[in-house]
Amino acid sequence: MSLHREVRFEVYRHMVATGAAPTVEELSDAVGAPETDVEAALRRLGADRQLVLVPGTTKIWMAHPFSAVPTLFPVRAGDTTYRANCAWDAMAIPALLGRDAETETRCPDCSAPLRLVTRDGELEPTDAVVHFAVPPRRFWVNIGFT
Amino acid sequence: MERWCAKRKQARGEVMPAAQCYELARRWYSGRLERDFERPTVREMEATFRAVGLTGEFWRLEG
Repeated sequence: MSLHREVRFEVYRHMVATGAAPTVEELSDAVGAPETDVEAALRRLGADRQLVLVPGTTKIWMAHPFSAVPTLFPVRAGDTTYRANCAWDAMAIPALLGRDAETETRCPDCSAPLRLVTRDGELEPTDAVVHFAVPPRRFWVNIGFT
Repeated sequence: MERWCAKRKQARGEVMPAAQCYELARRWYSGRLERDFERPTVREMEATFRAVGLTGEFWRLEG
């Protein structure tokens, strides 16, 4: 297994376990490789669009559907609060974890309270709609906005 | 929606019910936590869109 694959797997394992992104030091310990090699692996994963790094650094910004920074879409699952990048990702996290979860946010359009609840692998009925402002072929032109 | 778009000078994109988005999310991220995950190909991504009823120019990834 090549190092970048091992690093990618460990990033997701850590995100799932804690809701937060691992540091380079934590990744280095987890995969048993020098930090410089881990940083190279992170850059490769960023270039491959498998992770999003904070520009000019090797800090993880996003490991879709997870965000490493606070967002408008917190996803509570048990004792852990995950941070989703968008409404789509807020629904992806419970599906990916296979766990019940809730997101309380506000409609980005009208500011009305919005609650997304997933139980037993199903989204509870809601009148909410999701707006994809950016077509998929342009997702990565500005992934932060997307 | 129009207000959100106007504020950001952003054209209206595509709007879907949350349930359809959930189904897209479930399929799109399938396998992401696995050790040997491979990023889907463009064809596979387009097939995922089609499988949940998302068709048309907006969802096309390449010519």
